[in-house]
Amino acid sequence: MAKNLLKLDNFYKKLTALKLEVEVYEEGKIISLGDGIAKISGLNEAMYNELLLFPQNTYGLVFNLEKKSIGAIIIGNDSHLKAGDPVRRTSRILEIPVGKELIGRVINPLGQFLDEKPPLSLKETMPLEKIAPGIIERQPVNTPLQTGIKAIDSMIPIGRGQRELIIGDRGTGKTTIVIDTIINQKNENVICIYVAIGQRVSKIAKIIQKLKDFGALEHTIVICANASDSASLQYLAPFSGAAIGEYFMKQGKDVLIAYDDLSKHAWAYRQLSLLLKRPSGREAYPGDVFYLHSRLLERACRLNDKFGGGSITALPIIETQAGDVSAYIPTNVISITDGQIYLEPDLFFAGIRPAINPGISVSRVGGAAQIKAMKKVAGMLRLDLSQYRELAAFAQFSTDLDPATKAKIERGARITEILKQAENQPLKVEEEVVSLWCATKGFLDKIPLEKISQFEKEFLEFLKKNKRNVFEKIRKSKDLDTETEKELTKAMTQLLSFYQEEEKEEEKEELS
Amino acid sequence: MRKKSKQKGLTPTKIIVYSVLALKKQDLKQLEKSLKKLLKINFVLENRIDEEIIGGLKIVSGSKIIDLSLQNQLNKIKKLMLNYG
Repeated sequence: MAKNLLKLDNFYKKLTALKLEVEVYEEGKIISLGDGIAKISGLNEAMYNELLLFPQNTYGLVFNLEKKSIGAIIIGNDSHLKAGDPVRRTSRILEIPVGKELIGRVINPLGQFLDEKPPLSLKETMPLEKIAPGIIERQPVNTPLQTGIKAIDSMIPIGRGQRELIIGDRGTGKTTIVIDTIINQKNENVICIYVAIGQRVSKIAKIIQKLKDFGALEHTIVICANASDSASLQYLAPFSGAAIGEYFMKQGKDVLIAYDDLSKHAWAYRQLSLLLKRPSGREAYPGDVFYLHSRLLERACRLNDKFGGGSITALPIIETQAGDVSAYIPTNVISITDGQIYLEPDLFFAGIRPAINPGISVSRVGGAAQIKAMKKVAGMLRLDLSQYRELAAFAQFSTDLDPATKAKIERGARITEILKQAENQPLKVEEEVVSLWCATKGFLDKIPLEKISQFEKEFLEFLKKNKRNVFEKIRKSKDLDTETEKELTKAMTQLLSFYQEEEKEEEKEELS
Repeated sequence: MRKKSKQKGLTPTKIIVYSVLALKKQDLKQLEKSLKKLLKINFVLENRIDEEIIGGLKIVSGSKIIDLSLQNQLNKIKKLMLNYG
């Protein structure tokens, strides 16, 4: 009862505030309508990308300016419109309402709330299309963005302000990498934005539930343009993500945006362009599909301290078909981003998960985005792995090889084993450093391959119980000095002796 | 090649005034004067009857509209009411 009275009160207030005076506007007419596209006549002063107002509060965007008509895309549903309907110019560009209240919420690309919590009206807005910051406003990337995934943080490190592409076939773990990274930003003061473009609603629901379970939704905004939404919403979704990211970046915060995935974004743009009869090029994509992604990804950067020192790190995802990275869209986005993480189905099915191919994955920021401790530990990792891969063919005949080659193969196999990581279990950077230190110092060489992941878990548990200060030290100093190494070696020899005793007992049991 | 008569300023643009009842000659003349002051272009005024606007005037020139009609004001109220459910 009280709620209704409050509503009425608000209504009367708004009604009396309504100015019933002259209204000056420009109005045109819809000539033809269909598939989310409208051809409009009149409105001869409409501007490109201007927002148009259709009946029943539907908005559209001017896309084509032709001699005698305008081609506009209708944002959202168009089933209530018909030919002959009046269309008004708004003299505005598309904006999304922003505010810190968005954190923890699920919204659509227009800022409408999709979750069960009550909707909010936000005061500030940010334009969807914006020119990326210029050279003067930027600063080189030198702060790490810890993904919590050993394989990435050691060999393909990502920095705050970098764009790193995650590329692979379907079902190779691309979304998992992004979700693990978001989960790992829990106490890192990074606001995460997950943009779902053209995904199945069931997949998005699973992801949101996972984020909730790991307490990651409290620092994440989910923007959802799922497969059943119109192509115009799917086209706008990444730009909404970038606009919200820029709002937080202006305040000096660090933001992580994941675009999942840009392949479907390119499909939506292709659909709109073909319906507007724009000339098509390679693979039926319009001629400006490169510009579509370049202007989006260039907005991810690190601002210098004069402009607040904030950053946006972008993790775009591209899905390849049958491993074809030389197709049109993958090559486009590879040339835009500062590095790629290749995920291969062969590695995935061989049990190497995350299925990252370290040989062809690259991070153009590299060591500048790693703490000293990690650099010390991971320096030789890539070399060891590449040598292992070269000798891998001989691994099948390992009994016929000289001890040096055999040692390399054993070491490579153990490094590969320790780089495997379970889903949704990101590690803190100090745990990663300790884990990789075990492998590169050769302590794992004495342990059989099948027991390595178990040993890793037990070692980290052991340190957490008895030598917590080691982790603290690495975290604070960001370095691995000789003292810490000595303590780690002590703990390692202790645990190894346990293991060897266990092995001897097992052997005794087997013999008896 | 454009015909000379189609250049701006030489052919007056047509502005249509919609009203519910036919406007008297003096009212039309006064309207022309104020519009000339406001728009500063060469135009020709025509009065047409349109009952849909319910009351007031609606001045249309191509796509540009100056809407003083009652219909528009009622539509605004309708929009506000629909917003509040």
